[in-house]
Amino acid sequence: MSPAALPSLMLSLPLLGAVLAVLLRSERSRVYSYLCSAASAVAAAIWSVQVLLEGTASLVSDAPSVWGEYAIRLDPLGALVLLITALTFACVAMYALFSREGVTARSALLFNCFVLSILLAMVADHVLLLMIAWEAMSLTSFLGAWGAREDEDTIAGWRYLAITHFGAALVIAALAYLAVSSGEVRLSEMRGLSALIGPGASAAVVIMLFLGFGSKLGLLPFHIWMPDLYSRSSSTVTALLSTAASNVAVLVFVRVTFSCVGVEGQYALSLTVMGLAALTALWASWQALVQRDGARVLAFSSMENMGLILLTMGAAMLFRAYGAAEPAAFALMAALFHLINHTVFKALLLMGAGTVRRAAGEWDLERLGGLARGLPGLSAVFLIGTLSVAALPPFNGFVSEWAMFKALMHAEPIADPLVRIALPLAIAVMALCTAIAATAYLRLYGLTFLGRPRSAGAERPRPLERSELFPLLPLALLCILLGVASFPLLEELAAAVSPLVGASGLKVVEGSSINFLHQGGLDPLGLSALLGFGMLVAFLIVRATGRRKVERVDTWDCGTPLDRRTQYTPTGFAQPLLRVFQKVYRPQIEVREEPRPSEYIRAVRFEQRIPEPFVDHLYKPLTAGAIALAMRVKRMQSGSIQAYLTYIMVTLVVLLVALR
Amino acid sequence: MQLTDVLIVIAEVSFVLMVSPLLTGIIGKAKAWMQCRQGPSVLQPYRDLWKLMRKATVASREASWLFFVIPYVCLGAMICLAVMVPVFNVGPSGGVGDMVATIYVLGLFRFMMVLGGLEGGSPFGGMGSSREMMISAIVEPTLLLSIFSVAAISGTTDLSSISRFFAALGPKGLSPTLFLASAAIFISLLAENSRVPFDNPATHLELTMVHEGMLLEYSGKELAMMEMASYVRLTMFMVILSNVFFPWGIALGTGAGELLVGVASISLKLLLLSVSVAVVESVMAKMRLFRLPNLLTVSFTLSLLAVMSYYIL
Repeated sequence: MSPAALPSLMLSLPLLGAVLAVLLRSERSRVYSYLCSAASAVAAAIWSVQVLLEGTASLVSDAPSVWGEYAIRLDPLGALVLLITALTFACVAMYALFSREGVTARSALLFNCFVLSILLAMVADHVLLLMIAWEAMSLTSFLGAWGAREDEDTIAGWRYLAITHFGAALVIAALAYLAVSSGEVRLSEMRGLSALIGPGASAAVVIMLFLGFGSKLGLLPFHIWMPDLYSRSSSTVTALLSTAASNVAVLVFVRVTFSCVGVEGQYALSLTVMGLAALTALWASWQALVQRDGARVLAFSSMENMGLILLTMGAAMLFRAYGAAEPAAFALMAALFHLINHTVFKALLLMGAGTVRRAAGEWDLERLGGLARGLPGLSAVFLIGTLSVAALPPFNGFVSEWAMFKALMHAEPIADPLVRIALPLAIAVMALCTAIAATAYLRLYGLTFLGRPRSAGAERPRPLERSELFPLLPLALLCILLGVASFPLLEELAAAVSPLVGASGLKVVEGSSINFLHQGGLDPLGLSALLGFGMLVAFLIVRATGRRKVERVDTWDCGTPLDRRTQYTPTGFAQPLLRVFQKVYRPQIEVREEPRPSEYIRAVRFEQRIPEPFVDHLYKPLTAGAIALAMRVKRMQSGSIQAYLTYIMVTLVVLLVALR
Repeated sequence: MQLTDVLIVIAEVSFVLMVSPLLTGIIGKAKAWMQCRQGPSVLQPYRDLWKLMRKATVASREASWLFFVIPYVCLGAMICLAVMVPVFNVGPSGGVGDMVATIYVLGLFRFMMVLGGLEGGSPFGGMGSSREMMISAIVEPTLLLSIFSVAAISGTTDLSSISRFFAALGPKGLSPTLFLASAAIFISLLAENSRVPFDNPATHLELTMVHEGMLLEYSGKELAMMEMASYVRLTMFMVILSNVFFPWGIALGTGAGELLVGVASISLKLLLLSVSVAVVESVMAKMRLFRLPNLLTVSFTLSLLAVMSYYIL
C-alpha cells in the first residue's frame, strides 16, 4: 500500500459523501454519505496508528500553487489527538445515522464538509492550506447552526460570523507574518523564529494567535456566540465543533507557540495567557451554573475546560520561559491529555443531550426530570459522561485534571517570587472552577434524570431504540479506558511534547503510577481497583446482615401531596451559589404581588434575569458603533455613476502620487 | 508490597470501620455532658446501625436504579479512602495514597450523595443537595490549597511520604504555614461533615438541615450504609488532619511495639479531635445559611495565606 493511500482516503471520502448527499436525494443517500464520514474517520484512525508506530508522515502534493507546494504532515503528537478525534468522529457519524438527526441532504452535506475541513486543518502543514481549512470550518459550522431557517434570531448568527472572522484575521495575519519573515510556508519548517524576529514581535505573534484561536475556544470576551450556537445546532454539529474544532485550535497554537516561535524569556506573555485563561474558566463555570438549557450548560462547560487547558498551557509557557524544561513538558502533556479526554466525554454528553431532547421533546431544564426511570440506559451512559466531566475517579477527566493540578504544583524550580505567587493563585482558580463546574454538571444530571418529571414530555419519554444508544457506548467505554489504562497514551504524549519544550525524554510513568519529579504519583488502575474493592466490601457487609426487602411508597410529603412543581427547580438549585457570588451575577430580581386567588393565599410572581455584561457593555455598543459608521459611509454610496467615476479617479491619482 | 503491608492495611481499614461510629458516639456524649445531660451511650451509633441493617427498605416510587447504587458507591469510596490514608502506620510510599486523589475520592462521595438527595424529588432532598453544593464549592478549593502548602513544604503529595517527613522532623517541623493550613482544614472538617456551625446533625425535618435532608428518602440497609459512610468520612478527615499535620507517634516501621504506639497515638488524637469538635458544637450556635460563605471564605483565605506564607517567609 502506498503511503499516500490512507491520507487520501481520509480526505477524499468526505468529499465523496458530500457529493453523494447532493446527488442522491433519496432516503438512502443520507446513509451512504454518513457512512463515508465514518469510513474517513476510520482511515484517519488507522493512519494515526501507523504514524505512531512508524514515525512522522509527510506528504507533498504535486499540484502547483501560488505559494509553495501544498503539504500535509502528521507527527506523533498530531496522531495522538487525531486518533481519539477520529474515533469520536466515527461515533458521531453513527449517531447521526441512527438518530435520524441529519435527515436532510443539506445537513448530510454540511456534516461531510465539516468533517473534511476539520481533518484537513488537523493535518495541514502548509500555512495557506491551514487557513483555508480553518475558514471552511467556521463557515460550515455557521451554516449548520443558522442557515437552516429564515428566522428572527439572526443577530446571534452574525455575531458568530463577526467574532470568528475577527479571530481568523488575527490568525491569518500572524501566520502570514511568520511565513513572510521566515521565507517558509510549511509549519514544520519554521523553527525557533523568535531569534529571527525578536522578542517583541514574537510576543505579538503569540498573543495574536492566542486571541485568534481563542475566538473558537470561547476565550473571554469572544465567548458569547458559544451558548447560542450550541442551543441552536443539532448535537452532531456541536459534538464536532466543541471537540474537534477545539482540538485543532489548541494543537496548532501549541505547535506554533512552542516550536515555530519559541517562548524563551516571555514572562509577561505567559502570565497574560494564564490570566486570560483563568478569567475565562472562572466566568464559564459561573455561567454554566445558571443556564436553563442543557446545551448552554455544555457550551459553557467546553469554555471552562478550554480555559483550564489554556491555563495549564500558560503555565507550561511560564516554565519554559524560565528554562525549566521538564515541568513545562509535564504541564503541556497534562493539558493535551485533558484536551483528548475532553473530546471523548464532551461528545458523549452532547450526543446524550441530543438524545434527551428527542426522547422527551424538551430541553429546558425547568421542564425535565425523572428521566432515569424511563430511560435507564441513557441515564447510565450520561452518568459516566457527567462523572468524567466533573473529574471524579475513576474516569478519564479525573486523571487529566489530577495531572493538571500536579503540573501547577511545580513552583520549586523557579525562584522568582512573582511566579511563586502566580502558581498557587492558578491552583486556587482551577480548584474553584472545578468545584463550581461540578455543581453545574450535577445540576444538569440530577434535574434531568432524577426527581419527578416537570412536564408531560418528561413523564412519558419516547422509548429509545437500542441503535440510538449504541454510538454512545464506545465513548463511554473510552471514558473508562482513558481513566484506568492511560499509560501508553501518556508515555506517547510525553515523548511527543518533550521536543517542543526542549526536554529530553520526559518520564512520566513509574512502576504502576503516573509520577514526575518525586512528587507523589497517581495509580489510576490501583485507585479504581480500590474503589471496586471498597464497593465489594460494602456489598459483603450488607449481604452478611440478611436479605434486603424493598417496599415502594410515595416520596415523603409531610401530608401534602406533591405535584410537578413542589420540588427543587434548576433555578432554585443554583440559588445559594448565586447569592454567594451575587457580585458576579448581579441578578435582576423582580417580585410582584398578584391578585389573591383566595382570601388566605397570596400570589407572588418572581422573575429573575441574569444579565450578560459582555453583550450589554461590549458587543451592543460595538454593534451600534459599526452601524453608525456604516450609515456615515452610506452617504458616499449615492448610486450615481459620476460619483463612482470620481472616486476611482481620485484613488488612481492618490495611488500614483503615493507610489511614484 | 509485602504481606505485612497488606495485613497492616487490612488492620487499618478494620480499625477505621470499627472506631468510626464510636467517635460519633463520643462527640454526642461529650456534648451531652457539656449541656449537663446524661446523653445516650457512646455505643448508640452501633445500635442504630444494627437496627437499621435488619429493617426493610422503604423507597420512593419515583426513585431510579441509581438510588440503590449510591450507598454502595459512597461506602465503597470511604473504604477506599481508608486504604489510601495511613492511619497508624505510614505504610510504603509511592502507592495509591496521593493526597490530591483523596480529595477527589471525597468529591466522588459528595457527588453521589447529593445525587441521592435529588432522587424522589423530595423538597427536603433538593434543599439539602443545593446547600451542600454551595458549601462544597468553597470547601474543595480550600482543601486543595491546604494540600498545596503541605506539598510545598514536604516536596510531595504522597500521604505516606508527608507523614514520614513531618514525623521525622518532630516539633521542628512546626511552622506558621502548617498552623494556617491545619486551621483551614479544621474548618473544612466541620463544613464537610455537617457539624455546627454549618449544619446541625441533631435536627430532623427542619429547614436548617443539609446533610439529613439529603438522606431523608433513605431507609433500612441503605440508610445504614449512608450513615456508616458519613461516620467514616468524619473519622478520615480527623485522620488526615492528625497524620498530615501532626503525625508524631505514627509507626514508621512494622515492629509490634511501634504499631502499638501508633494505634495508641492515633486513638488519642482522634479522641482529642472528637472532644474539640464537641466543644465547638457546644459553644457555637448554628449560623444562618447565608452567613456561612463568610466563614468558608475565612478558611479559604487561611489556606491561601498558608501557601503564600511558605513562599514569602
